[in-house]
Amino acid sequence: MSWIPPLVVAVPLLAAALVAGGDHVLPSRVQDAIGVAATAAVCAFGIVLMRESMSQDVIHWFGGWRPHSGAAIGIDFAVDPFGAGMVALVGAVAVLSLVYARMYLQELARLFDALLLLITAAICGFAMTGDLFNMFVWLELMGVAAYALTGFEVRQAGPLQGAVNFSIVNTIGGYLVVIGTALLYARTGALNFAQIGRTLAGEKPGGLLVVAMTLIVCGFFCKAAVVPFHLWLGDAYAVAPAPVCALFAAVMTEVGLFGVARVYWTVFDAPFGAHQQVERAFLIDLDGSRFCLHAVPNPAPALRVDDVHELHADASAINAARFPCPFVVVIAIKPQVGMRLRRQQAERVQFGLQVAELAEQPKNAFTLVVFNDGGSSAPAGIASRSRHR
Amino acid sequence: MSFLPYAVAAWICVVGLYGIVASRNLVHLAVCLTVTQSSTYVLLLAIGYVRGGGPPIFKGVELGTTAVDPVVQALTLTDVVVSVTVVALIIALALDAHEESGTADPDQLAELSG
Repeated sequence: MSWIPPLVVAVPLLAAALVAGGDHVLPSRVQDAIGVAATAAVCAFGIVLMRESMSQDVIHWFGGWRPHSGAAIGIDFAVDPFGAGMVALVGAVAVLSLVYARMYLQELARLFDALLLLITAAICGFAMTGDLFNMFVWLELMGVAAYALTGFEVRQAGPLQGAVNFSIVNTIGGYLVVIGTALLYARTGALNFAQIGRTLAGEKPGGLLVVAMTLIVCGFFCKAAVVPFHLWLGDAYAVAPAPVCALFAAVMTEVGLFGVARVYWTVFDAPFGAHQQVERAFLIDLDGSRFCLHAVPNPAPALRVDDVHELHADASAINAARFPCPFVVVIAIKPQVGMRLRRQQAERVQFGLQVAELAEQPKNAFTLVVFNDGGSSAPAGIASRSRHR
Repeated sequence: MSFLPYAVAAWICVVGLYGIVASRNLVHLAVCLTVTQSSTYVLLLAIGYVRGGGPPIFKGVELGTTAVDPVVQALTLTDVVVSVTVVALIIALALDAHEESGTADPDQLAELSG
């Protein structure tokens, strides 16, 4: 089944070209059908890949450049259930937003469909690639399509401002990823995830690795709009057309977290994981609950909890249900809860670890624990500069 | 191996970021973005450089000749291509913004959009 992964990207890209090129030539119903069929095909491919990859990853080496004696020169798509699930999700959401766009934006030019297909292909490529630099290329392709979609109604100043903020922050994030990738390449001489991971396994994490990981994670966090890289999100969501917002909220910001999870568990877990347990939980302190919510507008499975006890209850609920989810985002909303937690620093770290352990049960789990402090600590300076006071 | 290229890359990156933060014009901002981006070129090329290495073209060259790393050059080229589209898009947005509201200053645009 290794012929499927390239099709997942090729089908929407070809459909986008067809829709854009056939503008004013093909009847509009045919063009709608092309778009919906292509995205539905992506969803179907995703589901097939999920089944196929359950037992073993589905791997496709482009141009037959297979690795020789442990060195991978070619670029591959390596699909695991995690990536295949992402593909299926993107396909499904893209079908829905294309259909919705037909009703919502009746007079829009055809290029809207083409851009939506482009972003679908980019997210699929991002989810399936097994190469760090290739991941950056898909990230940027996704970005370009997303900026254009955000500023689609360019006849107003608001969308322009939103699209500009969005594009600048995300482009800078992309550069951070490139710099991190370059450092990793300098360290390991490899760009393939598996090969980098194998090269780094059993080594002590040095300064270079810490810097590379920080840059890559920050770059992806810009995409994911995690605090403190979230300031573009309000602008972009406020101005993007509703069908585009659906795609952004459901998939695109999650793609950033997906990127972190993918890179962490293939590359950095080997050198860092064995050394520090705390590494498993990213503990982020911040002020003002609206910034928490702002940062994670549509978290995959987020738990909003108003009391520490409830927090524990929910945590055990996850445990009981063995949530088959890649991300667990825990947000403590009420300031008082945060204050109480602040007084119990030790307990907080312990709790973060506990959640991380729970989330670890499914393979490739990634935990982001966001606590709200309520008081005034350092990150307030960044947060209060948001335009959305 | 000299650390100078890395220092230059870091400096260009920071200068570009400063330009982005302090920019009063969207076109200027797009240029600052390309400045930040050029730090990645310097970094990549510095990583692949081999002292005394020739160009990585092996036709008609003796086996075992030292050459610089072709992978980072391919990465740089891809980086250029990818980022040019982004900059083109930002400049197009800047042009639209100027046409619509008569200003290309990000702060004034923000006031306009409320």
